[in-house]
Amino acid sequence: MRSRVVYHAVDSHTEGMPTRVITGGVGVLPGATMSEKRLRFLAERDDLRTLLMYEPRGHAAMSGAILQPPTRPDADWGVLYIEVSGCLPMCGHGTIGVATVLVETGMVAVSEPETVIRLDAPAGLVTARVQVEDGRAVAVTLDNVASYCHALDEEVEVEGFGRVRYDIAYGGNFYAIVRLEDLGIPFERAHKQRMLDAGLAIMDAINTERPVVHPEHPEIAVCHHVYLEAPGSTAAHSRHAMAIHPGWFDRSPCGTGTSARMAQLHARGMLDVGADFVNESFIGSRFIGRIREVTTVGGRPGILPSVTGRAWITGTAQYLLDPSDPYPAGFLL
Amino acid sequence: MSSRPERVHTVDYHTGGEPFRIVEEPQPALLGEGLSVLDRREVALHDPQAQWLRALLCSEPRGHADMYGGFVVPPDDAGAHLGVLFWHKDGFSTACGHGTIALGTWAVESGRVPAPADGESEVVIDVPSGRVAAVVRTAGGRVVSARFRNVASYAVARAVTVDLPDRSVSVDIGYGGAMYAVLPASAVGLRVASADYTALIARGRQIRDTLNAAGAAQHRSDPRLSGIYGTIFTHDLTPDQGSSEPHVREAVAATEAAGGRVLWQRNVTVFADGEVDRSPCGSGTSARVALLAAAGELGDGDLLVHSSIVGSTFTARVAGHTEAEGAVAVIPEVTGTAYRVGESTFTVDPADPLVPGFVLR
Repeated sequence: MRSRVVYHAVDSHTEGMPTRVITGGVGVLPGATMSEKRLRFLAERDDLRTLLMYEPRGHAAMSGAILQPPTRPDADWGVLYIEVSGCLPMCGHGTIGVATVLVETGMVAVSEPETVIRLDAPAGLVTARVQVEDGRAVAVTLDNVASYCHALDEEVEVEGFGRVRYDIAYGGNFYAIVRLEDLGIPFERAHKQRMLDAGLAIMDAINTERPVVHPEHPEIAVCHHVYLEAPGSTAAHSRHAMAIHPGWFDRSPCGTGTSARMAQLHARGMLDVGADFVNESFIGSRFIGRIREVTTVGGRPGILPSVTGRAWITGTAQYLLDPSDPYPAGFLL
Repeated sequence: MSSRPERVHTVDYHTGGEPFRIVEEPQPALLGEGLSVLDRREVALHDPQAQWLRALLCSEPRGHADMYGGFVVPPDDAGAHLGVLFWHKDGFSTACGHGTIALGTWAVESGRVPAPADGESEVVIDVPSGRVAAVVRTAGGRVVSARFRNVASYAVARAVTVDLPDRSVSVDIGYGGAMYAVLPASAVGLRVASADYTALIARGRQIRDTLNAAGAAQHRSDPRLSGIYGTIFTHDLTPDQGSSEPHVREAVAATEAAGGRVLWQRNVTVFADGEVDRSPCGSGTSARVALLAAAGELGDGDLLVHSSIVGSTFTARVAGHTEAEGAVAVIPEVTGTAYRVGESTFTVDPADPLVPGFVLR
């Protein structure tokens, strides 16, 4: 067997969404901080990201994380999130997957009933509290970044859908929240293409007509996620399909999306500090969110959310690249 | 498969971009004495554990909607090196050209079939639709391409009118180990390009379902091979739009040197329940060869350069003439390349609620 590379992975899924955790073969990426590593990786090693995420080794909804030695003394591991569309500074489902893999493969010291893991992520230090029973990671709770509701009852003209009303909130990324009833699309798998078309058209319209900018982080200035709220959703239990740029649905209930949804519900006076919020994905899997406390974000009212979810290991793999392979960086249809 | 395996090891290849996941470990339920590979396919179709393992390997999160692979099984007799049951997200298929190329490459690269450092080796594989041989070319100790002669392939019907909700289209039906409906993408206002990916899937399903509802493709002797399996959308290319892969350049040069004609085409095959072949599709290419030969467009000594929606390329030619099911038939030969992309050991956590998995396209 000839291969240019051998990347070792522990593959997992978090409530349906894959997290391909790269545990070996990459080496130490250059950069003094994880944020710097992320920028240099995007500039210098993007072929590695696409090799691991694109076909034929991955697919349009693949996602993962590359483990690194931490760059700060208060962290256990450094983590670089990788996905089909780029490298998020922070990823909720990915953190739950990474924490589960670290516990169940013995890459951190495990204590029961709770193991606390501090991850050095490009967005900053992320703490994951892993509930451990008999060596198994049965649930992971992470405290997310300060989230806030950017605007309520916005409207935008969307080609093919007319004027669409939406709320927009931030939970690590910007999320437009739209009621499927307003779009006249049933919350059913059979209508998923129309849902995806609507989601993509809405984010396009928002980014063109009503662009958003984070008040404290002006570099965060794009909406690539649309939360398509199912009929009958409440502040205790919401169902949704999350349409994501450039054209796929989150399989999991989306950690940052759950946080943004809680910020929106809190801004509407529907969700209090400490109450459980069940957020259900398109495939029926669930995260439980909770508002830890209120805060401000750039002078606006905000929340400090936590999200609890579960992940399972699905296998181990070595990803290879034949030197003659005409797709050395994979491909995407 | 009396009990579910604790772990399943796979070797993953891609042939022209199309995945092929090989399960080499014997699966007990598929090992019955005295069975042909076609019989073993029937066993697999009715065996809950075989279906479970297939679903585990091609559903998310371990696979995806376009995953493809095979279980290695005993051959019909000692005349073949191995047998294989091909599978994808909807079931077990009867023939698979890209899988044959991947299996031939794997058999040589893994040492299962001995090969010289430079030369050609034959890997004989029993597949449900018959016996195929993958001829694997090696140079400098490396596999450089693999070709196979497919089962006798023939034109089933020409200019069959299909009434779709918004228009009528005319398709040809060809058999290349499975039945395919063939039409130019332009007939439904589309191009063979990623931009039209979703629309091609929808149209492919529509055409296949309409033809199957009308019973348009009955295999003459074996009802298990009846029914349209896929829809092939074609698009003519000019030579400068064709592939520059080494195996293609060599085949084109050899054909032209011998005075043969080269046909350049791009196609996409939408098969089963809306899967899209990333490769030019081996059995689909064979059906194309049969239809082009029957129409007098591809003679002996000519070459079809058949590219896929992602730009990968097979070359194909008429390697012989025969009869099948009372019809004039050709033996198509298809050449392509396969590359190993990884090895996996899949496990199932007993607490995991999403087993064997799900498909969300």
